[in-house]
Amino acid sequence: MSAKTTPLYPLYKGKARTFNFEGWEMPLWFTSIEDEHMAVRTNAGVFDISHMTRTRIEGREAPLFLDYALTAKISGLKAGRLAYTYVLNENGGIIDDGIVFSLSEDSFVFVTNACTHPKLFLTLKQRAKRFPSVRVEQDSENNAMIALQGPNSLKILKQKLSLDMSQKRKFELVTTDSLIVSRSGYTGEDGVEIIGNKERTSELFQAFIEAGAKPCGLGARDTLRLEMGYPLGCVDINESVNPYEVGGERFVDFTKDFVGKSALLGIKPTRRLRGVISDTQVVLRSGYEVTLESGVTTRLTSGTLSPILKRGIALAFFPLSVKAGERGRVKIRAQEVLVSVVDPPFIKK
Amino acid sequence: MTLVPQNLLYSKEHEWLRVDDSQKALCTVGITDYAQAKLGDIVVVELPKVGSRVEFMKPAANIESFKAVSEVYSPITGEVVEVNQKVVQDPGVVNRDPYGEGWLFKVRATKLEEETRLLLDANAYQKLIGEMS
Repeated sequence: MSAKTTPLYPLYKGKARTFNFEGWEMPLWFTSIEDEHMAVRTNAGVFDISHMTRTRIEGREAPLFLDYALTAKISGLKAGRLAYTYVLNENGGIIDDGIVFSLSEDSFVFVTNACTHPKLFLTLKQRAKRFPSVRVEQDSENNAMIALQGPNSLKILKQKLSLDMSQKRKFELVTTDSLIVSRSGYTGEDGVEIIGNKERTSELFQAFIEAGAKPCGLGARDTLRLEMGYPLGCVDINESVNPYEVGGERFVDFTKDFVGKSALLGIKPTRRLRGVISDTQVVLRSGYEVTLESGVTTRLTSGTLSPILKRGIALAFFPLSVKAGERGRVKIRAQEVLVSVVDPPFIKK
Repeated sequence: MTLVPQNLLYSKEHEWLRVDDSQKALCTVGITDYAQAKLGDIVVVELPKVGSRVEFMKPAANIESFKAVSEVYSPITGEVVEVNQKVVQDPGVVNRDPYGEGWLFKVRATKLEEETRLLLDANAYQKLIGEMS
């Protein structure tokens, strides 16, 4: 069975090196991961992220439903604001993380990872049963999503869309010209994410490139988010991970009832997701074993080589007793590479 | 446009061999332009030790990109007489200049005649990668 393609695929077919990501044929890189990574850090890059799942939630009781289904407080979230949240199972395990876009007091878009589709959608539908007036619909089919990220991204946006997002704060959005534009992203740089129809979004993707943004693939998206220490759904976080273990208490509102709340209240965390950085230029990868001087061993959940630091960077769960700065070794084929435990971000922003 | 220099021999696994001195059976080994483009940014190169033995079409080195580690097979049997420290320090050289500065290691071959006959010339290799694209 061949992979799905996004509405933007015709723009980069034959131009990008693509690969199958969660059933989607996505760009891995256009020129090179390092070039694209550096473009985002120093100028601007544009990504097709249409593969991410978008669910539309509508109805007068939508905020109450979302309060129940998710960990973040959504009722009371002003229109035009975003909220990062988890969706937990009954045991407090993270089914997915995602961002709620509040369009109005009865209209929301929830953006989640491609890897949890359709389970996440079916979970929301199931939870919506006790709010029969709420409509939960898949909203990925007929639209696209792109991210424009980098220090010059807002300038390029203003040039090509005549929209000045500099007056908006982080995690605020505007709706304009049938587009949703939010000041958000997954790279650690300033920038926006845009949801819109295929035609408009394709136009913008190309316009941003014309204005100097580099087209970027998921390879750079991964190195960028790792430099910030952002966990990746299905890779670093999954149903065997609870919010405490990823320092996510602030995205959980215990003043309301939500699925997973009672389990969370009974959990005392024993481990935490931390950063690992190598002394030398190596690629740290998911699955590599790290052994600390204290004898603690664990496996890396994700990793890469930081194009900026020229050192391997990774994430891994460690017992709470482990301190930042602790030294260890990672076995990579025939070598033993020296590493340190650190708290992300790996680069200063 | 993928580069396939005429004066080299090629393996099906996208390594090249240059016979520098047929009398002394001295050769240089690297990976092709096709290979480096497929790998993307090369970030780590692990070379065999000088003095070690490499075998025809057996793994001799590792080239690591962001995506994965790839084995480099030696297109010739013999003793490693020199390795290119430059690519260890600056792995990107293999991407930028795979046939020149990006050479990987030099071998004193023990079965030069026999094994070079098993490799592809430039035209045959060009055909192979044309079929793969």
